[in-house]
Amino acid sequence: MRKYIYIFCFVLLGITGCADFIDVRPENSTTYTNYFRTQKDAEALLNGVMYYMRMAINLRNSADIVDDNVNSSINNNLDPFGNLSSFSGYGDLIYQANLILDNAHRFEISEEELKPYLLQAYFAKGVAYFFLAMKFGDAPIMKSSTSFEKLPQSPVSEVLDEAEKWALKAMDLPKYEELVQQTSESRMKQYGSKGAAAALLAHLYAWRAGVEGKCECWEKAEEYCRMIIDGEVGNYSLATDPEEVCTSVMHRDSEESIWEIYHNVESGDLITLFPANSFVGFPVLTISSYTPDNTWQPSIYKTTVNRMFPGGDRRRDAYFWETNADSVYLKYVDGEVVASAERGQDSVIVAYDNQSIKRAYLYKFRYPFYMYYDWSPEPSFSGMNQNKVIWRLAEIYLLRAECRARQGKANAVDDLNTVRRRAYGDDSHAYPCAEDVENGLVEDIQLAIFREREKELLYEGHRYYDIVRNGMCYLRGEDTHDYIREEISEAYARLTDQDILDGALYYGLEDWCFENNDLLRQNRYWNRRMQ
Amino acid sequence: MRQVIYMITIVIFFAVGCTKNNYIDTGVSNGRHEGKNLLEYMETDSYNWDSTILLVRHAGEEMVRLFEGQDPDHGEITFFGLTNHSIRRYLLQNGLERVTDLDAGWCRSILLQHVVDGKVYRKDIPAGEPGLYGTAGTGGMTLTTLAGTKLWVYTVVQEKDGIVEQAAKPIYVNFQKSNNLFAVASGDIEPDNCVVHALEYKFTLGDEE
Repeated sequence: MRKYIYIFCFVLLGITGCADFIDVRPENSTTYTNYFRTQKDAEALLNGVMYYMRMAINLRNSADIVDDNVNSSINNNLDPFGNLSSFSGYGDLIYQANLILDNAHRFEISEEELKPYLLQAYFAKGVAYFFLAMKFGDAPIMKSSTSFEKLPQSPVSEVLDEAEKWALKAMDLPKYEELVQQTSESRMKQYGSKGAAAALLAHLYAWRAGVEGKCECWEKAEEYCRMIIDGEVGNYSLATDPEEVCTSVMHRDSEESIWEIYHNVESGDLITLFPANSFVGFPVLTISSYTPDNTWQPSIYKTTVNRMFPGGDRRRDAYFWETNADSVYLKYVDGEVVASAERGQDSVIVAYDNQSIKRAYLYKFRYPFYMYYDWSPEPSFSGMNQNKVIWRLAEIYLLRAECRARQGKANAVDDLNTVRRRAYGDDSHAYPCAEDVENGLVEDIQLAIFREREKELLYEGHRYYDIVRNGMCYLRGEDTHDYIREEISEAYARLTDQDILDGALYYGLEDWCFENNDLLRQNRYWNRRMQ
Repeated sequence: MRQVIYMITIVIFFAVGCTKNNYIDTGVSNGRHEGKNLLEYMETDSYNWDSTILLVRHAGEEMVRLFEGQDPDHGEITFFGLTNHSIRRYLLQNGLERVTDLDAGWCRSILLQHVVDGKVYRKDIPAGEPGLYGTAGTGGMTLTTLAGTKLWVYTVVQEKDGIVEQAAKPIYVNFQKSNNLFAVASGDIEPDNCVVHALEYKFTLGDEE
């Protein structure tokens, strides 16, 4: 009998099992499966997304306007050094976004509470794939946060499809104002919002239309621009004048800004990849190595500034400091050293003959940050303490003008003139004006729009991509101006059509990218150059 | 047999030893060049000074006397020394080939802007802090050169592990005429008639005016 009882007990043990006993949540360590529970966890993951976004998102300076390219600081000579890069920053961003999406089912919070995090992840993936496509063309499409297999590049059209898929999902994001209201967490303009998603889609469709030749996308891009301009996806408004663009929009958190990458002193990553960083000098930087007669930085000349911004264009005096003054002075005013073009009655420390100095003083970015070291008598310039504005309303106006012009719509002029109105303070230079006639822009509104973007968005990092977008239209015979070969440098002027089709305008891949992945291929142009 | 091997091993240990410390005696810093005047000192360091010597000779007999310590009015001087690189860079930037291509009068005026009367040692120069754009700020001292221009000279006291006395005390010079600020790369070099504070290589001839 006792034997049966024993057997019975064993069987009972077998039946009940002890799965529940060992299925405990470790209390003193984090594992992949026990982490994703609370809203706080989701917020922490989103912080990660924002960190990688800040690291990854930057724009190329290859086509920045430069007269004196000291030390080749502006990367426009198509040298492999400086034109090779890696997917890694975007890979990190996508991985982090996937981490939220793949583990959505594990969270112990309501769908309502989780949704904002999913939407932010969609936006991050949309941005990441779009930037990958713009910078590299073909790129790997990652599967999930638990898959670490080797991946080959997918064709650029599939990368753009992927970007489009996520960006469209991100359109469910709230408007920026609502985003701020809905949470007690900090939400600056780097976070995805409906407006930012619309700007992403506007750019993505314009890119698909211009670069891929999908003409139907011009209309879609125009529509997303319209949604932003008409205030359907957020309240954005133009700053009143170019001065405010410099002091407020370029700084951070302005009404005009739609999406910007956050940088400040606390984040520890002041803008090192900022396109204009190397151009900023006197009088913004108040240390001796940047006085007017120092010439080691790359520079834009005053003659170029005067040509680009003729009299009346208020951007000249906002974006640049005292371009046409005869002399500039360092002087004491109330005991403080100030830079000024007025001699006045103050005690002058030193006077510079401004006419003999070719370089113009960039004044569009005005918030430098310095580090103080005890080995240096002067503070050390450590980057600009301001956000990197990626998309802003004036830019969207000009993008819509471009989309409309490509569709042959007459109302492209309206958007162009909106931006000019702010620049000049009135309608005196509405397109087509006398200067447009002089510059041969009357017959080519597309070029007029490009020139306006070039001016309005000077050193904001758009020019290279504008050239690619318009330049590919030329290659297909849809435009008469050869942007790629006429607007950058001699090196680009020597590119053949085949070079461009082979990927010369994209980054090549750095050597180490191939170390653990034999499925990746260098693009054809850079492969030839690296032989 | 095994015992012998042990003993040999131990002996070898002692033989190779590690008695030498990782200590390299680089000698004592001594900027004093006894028995040499400024020009003679510069001749001992051709890497830094040979174009400067040419510049002095090209600037005329009066300058040579000054640098040799034979000028009765300026027996002892302090020279904020411009070195070869400073001269070569100027020549290169202006398409000139040799020092003698320069205007002798200009060379004289340049040199005079680097010379002040009397010996000014590092210890004599007070600590200072520059103003914005490298302008003359607080502390330091203002010296008048033989050309009549002003130099604002100051030292920076760096704290080193909490001990100020052990820290480097670099000298900086602001040429007030041009408001250009430079560091002294090597100071307190002392031939008989002079104290030399050699300027950093970044300095280019003409930066003083």
